[in-house]
Amino acid sequence: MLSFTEEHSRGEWTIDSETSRIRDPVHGLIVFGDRNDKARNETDDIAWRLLNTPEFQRLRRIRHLGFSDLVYPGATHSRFAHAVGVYHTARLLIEVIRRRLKNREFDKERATVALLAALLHDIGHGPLSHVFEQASQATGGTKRHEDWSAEILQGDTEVNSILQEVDKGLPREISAVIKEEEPKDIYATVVSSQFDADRLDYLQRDRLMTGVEFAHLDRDWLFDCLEVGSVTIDEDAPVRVPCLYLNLKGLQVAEEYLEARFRLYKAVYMHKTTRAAEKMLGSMLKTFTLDYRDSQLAQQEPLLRYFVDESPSLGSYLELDDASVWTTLATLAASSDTHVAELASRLRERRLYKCLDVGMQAQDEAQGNLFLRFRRELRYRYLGFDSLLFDDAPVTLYDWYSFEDSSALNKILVKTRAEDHEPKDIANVSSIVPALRDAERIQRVYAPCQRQIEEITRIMEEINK
Amino acid sequence: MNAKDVVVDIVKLSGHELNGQTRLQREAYLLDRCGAKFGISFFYYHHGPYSFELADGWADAKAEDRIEIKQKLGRYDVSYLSFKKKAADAHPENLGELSAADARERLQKMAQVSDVVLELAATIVFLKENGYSERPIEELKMRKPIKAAGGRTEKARALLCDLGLKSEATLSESAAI
Repeated sequence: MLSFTEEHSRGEWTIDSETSRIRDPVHGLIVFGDRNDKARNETDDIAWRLLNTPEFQRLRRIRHLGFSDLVYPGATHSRFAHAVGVYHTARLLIEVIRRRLKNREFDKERATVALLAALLHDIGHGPLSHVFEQASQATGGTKRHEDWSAEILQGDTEVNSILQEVDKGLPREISAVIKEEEPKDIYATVVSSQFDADRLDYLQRDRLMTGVEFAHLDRDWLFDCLEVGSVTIDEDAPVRVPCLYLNLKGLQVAEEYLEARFRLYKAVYMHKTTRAAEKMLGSMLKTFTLDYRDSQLAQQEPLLRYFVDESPSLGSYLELDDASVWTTLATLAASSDTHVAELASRLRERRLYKCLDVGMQAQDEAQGNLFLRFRRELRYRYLGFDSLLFDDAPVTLYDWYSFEDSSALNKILVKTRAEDHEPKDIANVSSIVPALRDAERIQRVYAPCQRQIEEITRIMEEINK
Repeated sequence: MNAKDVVVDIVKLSGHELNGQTRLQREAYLLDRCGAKFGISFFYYHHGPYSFELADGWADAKAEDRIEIKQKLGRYDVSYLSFKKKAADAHPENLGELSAADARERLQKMAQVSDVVLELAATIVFLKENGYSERPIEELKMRKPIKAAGGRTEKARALLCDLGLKSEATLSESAAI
């Protein structure tokens, strides 16, 4: 149970709402602290102190969209800006919950845990954000950024000291919310669900910073349509728990929200050029880790040390940022291994692999099989197969869940009639959402040069006949 | 053993049909840990141990027409893959380093539990072997607060015991936490 220390309960804040504020391109002025709201002051005070730790400041040096600026030069925004935006958005969602729930039902301590989890949810991201995680996986790493976040919260860090000062159990409670794969209550849904502060921030931020004109989100209307009701979870032992849902007037904007995410996935996150760079970095690090684990070069750069170390420490992880990737690429561009040197040089100079888009077609049986046959044929018939990189990933509008109904809190819930007992899954209310189920699948082949793309295109055409 | 053969043989030993790609992943992982030793890598993905090699394996097996894979809709309109054996293939004598009879018996035991219980069992073993050797159950409950409740963790531990993974099954709550 959270119990604020005496200093906090006396209201001796380190925060000053006239100086503790951040100008944000998405949300405008984000102010920490409010003289008229003690509860908000308490949490904002902790948040402001956390912002100023070395672990959190590291997020300034990590781009939110990894390699996306290779395509959208404006997309150089940081994880730091995103994390602050998520905190701000979480405050708005928590305020909806506070206003809609009767005071005795509102759990102030859980709300604080959720707000701080929203702020810290990405603190464990590696360089270039998700790019690092994919590269790490390609080299056999099993830790996810959520695991690193929990280590930062519970390890020997300034973040941990600040949280412990407030309450000894706070680091663990926040870690639990960050690691939860299924939100266990309404407060956790603010941090992680299909309608959470994270998505509400990044959809707006990534749209703004990339400069794309689609994927607009009417956030004010969305928030105005938010209500608090209850929903049944866990079929084995059913229990009704509070949840956020949208009233009927919010259905259209909820569809827009899902469509925005779908469009951004297709045009930004899964852009063929960005994915080429990601695949190239993964291939380069995999080759390096397999073939040069014991080399002197592996000890030269923090990034390489991290990848060859079977059990990297938190300290070595926190040394990493985007700059460490670019410095390593400069070093590896001079490597004696031609494959590694070639990939490093190409990434530095944006001479990326060429793409054959086999099709963002419907994910039907025949097309899926065609890509598999194509890949198999290439392996047997194409001499340069080892130099090819493949990308095969679904683009989905909405995640359906399989676990009985424990995942109800993870869904986007809509109540179409006031007399309905419980809100329903948007997939059962909207006509658009089911229509776009499993709508598209990215299936691509990357090759070092256009001549190879032409050769493999010919093989593809033969298979198609 | 290559991932393609692992998929084909598991489908055959499961009675020629197996429903759910994550079920196939969890079963392969647990068989691996029961001694099959497939030599393929598993990561934590889709809420439990998952092998990208295995996913490529079923793609290859399908491309070679050794199994049939169909996408179906289940409860709550959740889509899943259904794997079916092709008639011509002979039965395997072994599955990795397990005899076919051993593997079949374990697959039958796993077929009797729900997807959630199977996920919990596989996750306990994965966590124990990947960074949470002292407290896999505590970590499991942290990651899956709802799934791990309602007696399902106990069912998962019972399954591990049935499979012969006794050290995982008998982790005491106090030692685990």
